[in-house]
Amino acid sequence: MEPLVRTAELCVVRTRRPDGLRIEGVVDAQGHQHLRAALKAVEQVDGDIQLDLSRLEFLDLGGLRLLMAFARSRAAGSQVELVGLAPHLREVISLVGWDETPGLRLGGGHGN
Amino acid sequence: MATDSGTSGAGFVHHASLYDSDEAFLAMALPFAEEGLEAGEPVLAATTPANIELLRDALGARAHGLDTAETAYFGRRPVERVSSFLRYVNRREVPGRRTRIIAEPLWAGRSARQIAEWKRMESGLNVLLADADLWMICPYDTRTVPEDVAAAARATHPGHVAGAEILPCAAYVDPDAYAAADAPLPPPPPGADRLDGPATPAAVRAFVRGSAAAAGLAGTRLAMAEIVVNEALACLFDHGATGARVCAWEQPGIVAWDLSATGPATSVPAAWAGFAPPGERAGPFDGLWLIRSLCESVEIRTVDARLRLRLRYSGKNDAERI
Repeated sequence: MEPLVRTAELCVVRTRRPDGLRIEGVVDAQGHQHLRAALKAVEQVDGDIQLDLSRLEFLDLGGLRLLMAFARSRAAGSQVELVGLAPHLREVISLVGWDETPGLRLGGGHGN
Repeated sequence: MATDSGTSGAGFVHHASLYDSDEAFLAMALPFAEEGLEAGEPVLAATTPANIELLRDALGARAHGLDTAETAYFGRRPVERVSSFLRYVNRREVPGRRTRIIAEPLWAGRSARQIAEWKRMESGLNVLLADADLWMICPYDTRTVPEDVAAAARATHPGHVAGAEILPCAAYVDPDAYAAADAPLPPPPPGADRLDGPATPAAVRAFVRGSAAAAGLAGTRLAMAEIVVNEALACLFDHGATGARVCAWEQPGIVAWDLSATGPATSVPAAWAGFAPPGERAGPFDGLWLIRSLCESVEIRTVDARLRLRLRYSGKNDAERI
């Protein structure tokens, strides 16, 4: 399938079963607008969303905030699961207090 | 003690209390806590275990209503201390009622750098907590604190407790003026590694991975260093930098990164920027808060109108992180 985003640093692919996105590469200040656009493409999807971060090379604080805001924006009862979350990002999420974000589920990590 | 520092809704009230005996500590702390508890106000004693015990014994059964925190663990560094205060106020505040905190900073055993940072934070609290309906008294034990720390208490608190009275501190210095006295940074050491070529975010991150790995960092600690320096670079660009000079070096226990903007700053972060944790909405200093939270120290200077950030990050020998 054609990726939703393809730049030199970032590729975002729409995934099915489970519905969601696979985010690959680098999200820094230049990547925010692309990530925002990709998240918009799945905002109408009913039910749970899975965001596969296992091929992410770098995600900055602003990018992480976009994921949190997306989880919070979902209808009550539907969850956003982050899979392949790197341990240091999990640490940042709890440091900020984002681990209590409604609708957010932190899935298994991968070593880094 | 005349505990009427102003009625509820007066905003932040910040007093020092220099005491030289258990009796003198209690003469301040007991009426302060008693009157708060009687008025149904949240009262926190963040002080030494010995002082918590003194205060509990003096309060008797009323001590059941007292919140306590062993001060050494209620924010290890200034940025964590500020978060601890804000979290307490957020979780405990009662609408229409003021919150009271006894907040005794710990000075014994701190390095000169840490003492300077804590003095600076005591001053910064006047700005950072300005909107909180909070009365904070900071006890300083003159039996143990050095004279310069006691003197700083009078410069960083608008008032102090003197026996049964609260008097203004004649030596009080406006927080921004206090921070303006930050010492200039020494230049990076001659052997520092320098990033060659344009400091694009990708190039700076690669440089940071290289210097972190050379310093023996790996895994989460290395990845975190990359996040931190990336945010520091973004901070320079947010304030008008057109590029940056970046260098790295090691000191025992520390990996240091220095980022110096090329091009004049269009604005300069306030001295207290990045001490309050990120809120519901994105804020301009969320990244700076993350940097402050993950580094041992962060120094921000403006040299010839150019912004400079120096980050000191715990190295591989930090046994707390092994």
